[in-house]
Amino acid sequence: MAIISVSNVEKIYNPDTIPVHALKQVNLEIQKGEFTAIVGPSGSGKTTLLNCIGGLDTVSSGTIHIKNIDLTNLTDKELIKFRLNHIGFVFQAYNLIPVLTALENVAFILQLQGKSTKEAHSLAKQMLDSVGLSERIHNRPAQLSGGQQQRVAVARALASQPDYVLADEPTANLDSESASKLLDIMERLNAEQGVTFLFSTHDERVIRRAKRVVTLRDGAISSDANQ
Amino acid sequence: MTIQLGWKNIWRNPVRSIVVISAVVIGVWAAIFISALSNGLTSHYLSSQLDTYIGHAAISTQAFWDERTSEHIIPNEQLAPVIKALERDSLVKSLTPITIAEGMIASATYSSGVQIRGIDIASDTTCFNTHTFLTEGSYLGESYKNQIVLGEKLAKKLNVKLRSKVVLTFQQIDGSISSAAFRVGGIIKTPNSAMDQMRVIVKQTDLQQLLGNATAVHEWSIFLNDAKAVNTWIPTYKQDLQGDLAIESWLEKAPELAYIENSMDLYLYIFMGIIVLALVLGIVNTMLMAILERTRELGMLMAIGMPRMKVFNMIISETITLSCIGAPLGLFLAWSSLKLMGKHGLDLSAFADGLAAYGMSSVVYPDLKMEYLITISVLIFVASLLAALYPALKAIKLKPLEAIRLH
Repeated sequence: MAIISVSNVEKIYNPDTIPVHALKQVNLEIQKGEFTAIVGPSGSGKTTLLNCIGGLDTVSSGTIHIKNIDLTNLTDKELIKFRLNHIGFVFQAYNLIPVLTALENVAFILQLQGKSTKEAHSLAKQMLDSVGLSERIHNRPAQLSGGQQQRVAVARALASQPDYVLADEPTANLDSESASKLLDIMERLNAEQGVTFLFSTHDERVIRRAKRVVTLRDGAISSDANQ
Repeated sequence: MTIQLGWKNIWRNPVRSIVVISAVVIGVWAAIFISALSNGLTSHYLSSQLDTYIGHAAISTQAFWDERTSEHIIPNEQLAPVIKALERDSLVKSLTPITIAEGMIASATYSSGVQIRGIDIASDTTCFNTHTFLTEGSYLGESYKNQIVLGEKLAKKLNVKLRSKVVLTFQQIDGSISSAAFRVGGIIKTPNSAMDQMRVIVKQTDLQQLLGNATAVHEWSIFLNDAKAVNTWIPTYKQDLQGDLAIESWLEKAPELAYIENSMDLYLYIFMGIIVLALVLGIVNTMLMAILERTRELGMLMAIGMPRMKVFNMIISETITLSCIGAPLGLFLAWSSLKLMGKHGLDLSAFADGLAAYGMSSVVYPDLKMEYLITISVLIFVASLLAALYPALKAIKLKPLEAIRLH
């Protein structure tokens, strides 16, 4: 059974003034453990699709089911709770909390889930260790390189034991070496722990390493191929 | 966790946080200090008025208070049981009889209308403190008859000095006009220069003799241990007095003093309100800036699953924490400055003449009312809570996606 099921999704911005069709009749199914890249030129709708799957944006029509839950029927409060417990996010600009250390950034999401500080810190340490940052746990984001910050973001995304991780252009701000290191980690986590990754990108380095590539053009899926 | 993050957020921009804390400190200090100073000024003014000329309560005939003519003397035999009761009353500190005549004082160069107060020195000095403001001579302590004590300003106007002669003219009890020469035995300068020009003090026996009644008393002045208790104390005596006798508290005798006290409370609350409003606006402005700077981060927090209520609590906790640091510091600063000023007072001698015209001393000792302290503390807490509400509401209204997209 698909972990993510997108059916006939349309997204229209400014429907009452100058309508912009960001997504047109998108149908997509993602199975558990997939390592999928959504690619396409700028404005093709890949980020919009990712945001809709992440419960950050609403659809104009169609449904998005995560397991058996229809995201389009959830209230704002329910969506926040859903995101906390089911989705991991990796943003293009890392988006870490600058006043917290790497350990605290990762532990934060666990504490939001209700775990004690001690338990959260212990799990966060393990997560940071798995992304190769055990030596940097007490550093604040400003003391880390871009690649290291993005690895903290990956650790944070995985710490909450989500059903899937959404990564919006995760390597866009990274140099080749950092990007490669990050992809190595994501691939390893996917292979070893079966973490489902879905990322939007137009970075060839990422596209080459994805197991499945979904191409969007003008808001519609133009191709969907396994590599 | 939320509070911990709030605390770290406060120190993200230490300068801004210190500015907010300083604003709270100065706000609390100013509110308390000005309250204490104003209260001290009012209390001192009240006590100087009551202790110098008015007293806490007085018994007289209603006719005397209505007409102010010396014929309306107190029937002593009727008042005697009341005086005995007053002397036994533990709330009463002291009492003194006063003989009063409205008349004229004249020197070779000037004349003026005055109230002539004939006092019993022994009991008067246990009630009023007028004798403590003697600047020259003695307070009716000379051996000769017909001594008079004048205020310094009146003496200047009359152009008289110690041992100079002045003539008092007034109506006797039988209605005839009488004049008598008095020699200046002492000159006083009380904090109330206006009163000093309107009243002169002579020995009660001298005035009684000149009025034609050796036992004539027009008013008994009463001092309680606590001037503020007069309202609850006076009703029992109001019922006991017979005939034309009447008792009045200082609030009835000098309603303008009660008005000053009440209006000062009102002014202080208005003043506190202005300080708190300025504080609220300052905090709102700073917190809004902080929210604006962190829009993207707040969006990210909500995107990864931080409930809006926790974001709200985080912003509130940041503001409350700033106030909770500032308020005790402000309280301490206020306490220290009041303690320091309590010893020496605030010297306003540069404005001494102006203050004296209003019956105020040139050295003001702050006096902090506990109710003001509690009100200010509660106001600051409520104000910081209110100041936090708008930024916090603004923060939780952010749409995560739009906030994250901001650069």
